[in-house]
Amino acid sequence: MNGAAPRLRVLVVEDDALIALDIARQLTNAGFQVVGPAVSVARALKLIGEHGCDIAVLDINLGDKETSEPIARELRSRATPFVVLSGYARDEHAPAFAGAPILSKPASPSELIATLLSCTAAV
Amino acid sequence: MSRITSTDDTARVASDERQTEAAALDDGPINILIVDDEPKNLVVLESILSIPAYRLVRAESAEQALLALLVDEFALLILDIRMPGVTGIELARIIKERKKTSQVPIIFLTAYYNEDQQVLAGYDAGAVDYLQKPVNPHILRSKVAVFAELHRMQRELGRANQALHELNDTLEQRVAERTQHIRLLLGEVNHRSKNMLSVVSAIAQQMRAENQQEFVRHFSQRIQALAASHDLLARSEWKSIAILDLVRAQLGHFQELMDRRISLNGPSLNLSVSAAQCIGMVVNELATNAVKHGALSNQDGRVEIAWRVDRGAPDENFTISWVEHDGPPVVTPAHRGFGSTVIKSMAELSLDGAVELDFAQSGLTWRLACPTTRILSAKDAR
Repeated sequence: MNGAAPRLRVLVVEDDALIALDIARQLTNAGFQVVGPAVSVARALKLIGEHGCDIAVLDINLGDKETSEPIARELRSRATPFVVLSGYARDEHAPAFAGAPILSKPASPSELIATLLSCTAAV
Repeated sequence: MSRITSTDDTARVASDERQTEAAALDDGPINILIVDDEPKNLVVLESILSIPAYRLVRAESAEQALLALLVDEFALLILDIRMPGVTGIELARIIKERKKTSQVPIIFLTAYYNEDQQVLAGYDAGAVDYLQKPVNPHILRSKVAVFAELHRMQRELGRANQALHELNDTLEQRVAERTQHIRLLLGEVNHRSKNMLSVVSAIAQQMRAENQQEFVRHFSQRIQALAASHDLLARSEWKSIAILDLVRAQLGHFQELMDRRISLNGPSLNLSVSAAQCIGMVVNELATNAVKHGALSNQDGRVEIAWRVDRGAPDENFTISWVEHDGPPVVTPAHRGFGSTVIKSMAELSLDGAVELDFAQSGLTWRLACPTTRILSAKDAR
């Protein structure tokens, strides 16, 4: 797996810290360079500004009525692909997420990694 | 003309009229159109029917009558059959043909009551009753009172019907709102369940290093800790949890040690859902460790749990600490397992805070500091 993912920088956005740490650990083990993880919109936008990223994993709902929509818009403006993680059914997503691959929670690590790789291959 | 008095029926008519008058107080008077080409006949009718419950409108020709019918709504027409020009019968036909007036009852006044042909023509034209001239005031009042009452009941029925329609609309709207609300709640429940499954999966993933027997025991303990916080959150309808309730729920297994060996100290605070989940897990990990290796693993050890809010510029800070005393000598663990992820990395990430962890020989100290805004429920943060 390390060979297939040449230190791609992946931003992880997930409001549950435990899930965020788990995803970060899985991606690190798979050879990605993890940016974050971020549990809020403000933190994620700051990380994008300071470090940039090649791809991102976004949980849609970030608690306290916040969603990762502003992050999705920022990534689109930078033509950075992202994968969406969601506990919600497919028809509930805002337009900012349209077209992005959606993984339903809980996503299996191999599925997440495979989806991330297919996204970067397409760029 | 004066009212007729002193017959048995008069009392009943008077009572009908009183009822009509009482009803008129609520609804206003009802309109009665009286039509006769002879003005003095109109005066007679007016004097017989002069009570506040009735508003009499007079017409001396069919044309005047039709004009009046355009302007007002009438409960009853009293119509002279024999008029020059358009006769009463013809006028009745016109009235019955017009949709707006077709339901208005008509009483014919006629001098020719016994002429069958006239009577039949009158009924054909839509008459509901006949009175012979000269009019018997008592009978006229009695008949008019019946029609007035009928009209009042129709009005009431119309209003009740309208109210029912409105109530029905309101109910339908409420059902639609409730359904929408339930749909939202179900979506929310679905979301929360999947999130919880993700948390459980993340816990399992991060505990992989442990041997199988230990794994099962620790895993189920952690699931129970999640469930304890979950109960409190569900009871608060996912709004907030009092910090004292949360810590007590997580220390549920040590009820008998509470106060004697475990002390809780701090102001009452309502934690946000995410902060409650995080602090709940941390307290569970610290307690599990204390029972296995720390101050709760012997007979004398004590744990002090304290929290406070420092209200100082520029940001308010929340601090919570877990300090152990009099336990067996502390040994810094050689390897950091899932528990240490929870009490350090997870807590720091989740609450945007800093954790100090000190394995001093005299007892473990854990201290977290974070911005108050990260832990308070939205209501208390304001």
